[in-house]
Amino acid sequence: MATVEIIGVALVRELFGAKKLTYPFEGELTVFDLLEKLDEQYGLGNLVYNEDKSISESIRIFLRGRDIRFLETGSLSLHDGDTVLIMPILAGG
Amino acid sequence: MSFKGGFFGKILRIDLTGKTSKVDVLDGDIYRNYVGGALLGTKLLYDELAPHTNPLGEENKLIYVLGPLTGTDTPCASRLCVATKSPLTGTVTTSFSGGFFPAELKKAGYDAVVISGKASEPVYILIKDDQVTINSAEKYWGLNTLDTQLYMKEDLRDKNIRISCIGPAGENLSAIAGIFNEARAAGRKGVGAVMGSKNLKAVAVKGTRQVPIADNEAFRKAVGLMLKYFKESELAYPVFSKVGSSCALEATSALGLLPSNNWQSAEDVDWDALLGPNKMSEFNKTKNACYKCPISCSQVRLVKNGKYSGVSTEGPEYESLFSLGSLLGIKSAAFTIAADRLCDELGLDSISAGATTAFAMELYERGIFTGTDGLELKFGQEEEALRFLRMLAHREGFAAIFADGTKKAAEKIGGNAHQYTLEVKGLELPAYDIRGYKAHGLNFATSYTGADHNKGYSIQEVFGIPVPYAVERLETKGKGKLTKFNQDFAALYDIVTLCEFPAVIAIPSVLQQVIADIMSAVTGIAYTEKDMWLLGERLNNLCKLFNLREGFARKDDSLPERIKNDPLKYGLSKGEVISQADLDLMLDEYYECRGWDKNGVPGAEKLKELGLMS
Repeated sequence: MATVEIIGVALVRELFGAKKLTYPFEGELTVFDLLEKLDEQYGLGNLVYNEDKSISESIRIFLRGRDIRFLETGSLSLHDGDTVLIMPILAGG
Repeated sequence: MSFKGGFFGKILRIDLTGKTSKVDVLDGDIYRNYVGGALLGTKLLYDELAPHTNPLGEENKLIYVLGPLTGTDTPCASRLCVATKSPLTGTVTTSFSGGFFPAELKKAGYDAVVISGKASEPVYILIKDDQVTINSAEKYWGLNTLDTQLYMKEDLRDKNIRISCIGPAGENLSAIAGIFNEARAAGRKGVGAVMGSKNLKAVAVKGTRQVPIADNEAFRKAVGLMLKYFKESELAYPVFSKVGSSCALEATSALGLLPSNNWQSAEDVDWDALLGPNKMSEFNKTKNACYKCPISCSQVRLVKNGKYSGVSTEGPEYESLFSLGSLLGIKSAAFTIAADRLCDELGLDSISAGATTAFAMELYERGIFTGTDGLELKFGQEEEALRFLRMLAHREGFAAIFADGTKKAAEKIGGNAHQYTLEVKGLELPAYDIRGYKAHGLNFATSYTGADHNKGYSIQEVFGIPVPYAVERLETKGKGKLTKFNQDFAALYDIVTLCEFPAVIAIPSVLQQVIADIMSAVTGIAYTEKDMWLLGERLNNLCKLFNLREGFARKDDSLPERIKNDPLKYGLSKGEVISQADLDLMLDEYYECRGWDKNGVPGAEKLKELGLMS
């Protein structure tokens, strides 16, 4: 059984009720598959998705530290020990 | 073209050597092309300072510049630009503060106050509209910034008078001293030392005039649209108003990019849990808004128990949570409140003060500098850090070596001490580990005043704001173009003078058009969106000309050794650096986008386009 660590920031953390989740999986799983599972369980809704189910510009999702918008399709598969970070746009500084 | 509002057309000039003042009238074209804030301030400095002016000499000028929107009903526009030649960096510099002082000074009827010379003894300047007097400040000399304001108001019998002043750090010419009004600071780049070098303790002001507006109906409409954008923003009221700038800590710590222990980041620590917005909210007492700011981001925090019980401060802002918390390896939120308060009182830039303390800690732990008179200056040591800050501001004992920041301290200490400084052009790096934010790193390398996050914030990389487009933070290609965009974007709000936060949070995609509409309504000059971009670019080029005249070159557009050579050890940015090769690639692209040559020198064509060469 492989596992990925999921880190939620700000509003995502509030949805999860925890800062970190561990997600066990078997077989092939992409980051998009994972988001669907999380949506079913936690109701990510419009925090992550647009109405057409594309990923909102108001959220950033990092796989192994890389923004998934800039990863090639072949790099979107999850592996044992990967970290997925889900972070809404923020401000401050 | 002449203006019909926004400006009074008057510059107040005060010579502290002769204790005289006079009013100058500027040509209308100067206002159209240089407007106010950072651009007007730099224009005056470029024209009036001889090359290689000693920043702490009588010949340097300390200029308080306002903008056409300051003192109007434009939200978040009560901003003071302090322009001078920096004793910390040797570059031209601009440092900004908010609060109520800027609006009050504007209402006294001036677009700028140019302070030259040096008083023979401590003085303060009192401005009540047309009445300008220079008075003894002997009784205030030595007082901290908060007490100075308190007692001066009592002496002047006017609790609503607004005061901008220095604390002990500025009096002692610390090159990391700021200028404070209320609990706000034009904190960075040693502007407080310039004020101290003139024996000037404070500027007190009372203004009763109304800033003229050329077209009130158009102004109301333009401001109404701006407020609508504020209301629709996902961040302005729902997030920023509630927790202030501390929410940045969630973003940087999640990616392992909140520096700790003088950027060694040697431990995998959950700084968000220790110093993040949720933790800091436990200390929230009330909020304090700047003049005409509907967002009110400033959180007043109070420690209710423990060894810092009873200490309150406005903040700490995100930067101070870094510099007085993680950077010192101190995991106590209450400590950051106490240290933030102390820096405000002493009149220290809390970023550089914390960074200098962290630098001293690393030197001590490595055995490079141990002459601390028994002070165990180690990471995580709270009492020692507070003691060091007090000593530093007073140039007391061994800490005098560190009073002018890390670069000058390393020069005095010698050996390999310089390897542990984190500065660009002498300015200590702010709270972003740029090894994982490449454009932000390029901005630190190329900003006209050293490693200044506010001069070209990479909002795309740090916060994910996709304006003008989303970017991959770890990619170097394209970051030259992006940095030019960010610097010219940031320059605009420094010119007009608008607070950075609403510009970035609520109106980033429409900033130039929103400001152009308000500026046109206020001044009666027809500004366009393109004009706004040109203003920003003009500022960055004029500052470049100033710095080239001082001898700065491509080699100074650099980054610290640790950033270039020490990979990050933990987290989602593990292994990242900005190598010299990375930096060179980004610099080449950046210079090309700017129309500068390989050495970073603006070409004649670019200068003519910007009206900086005839």
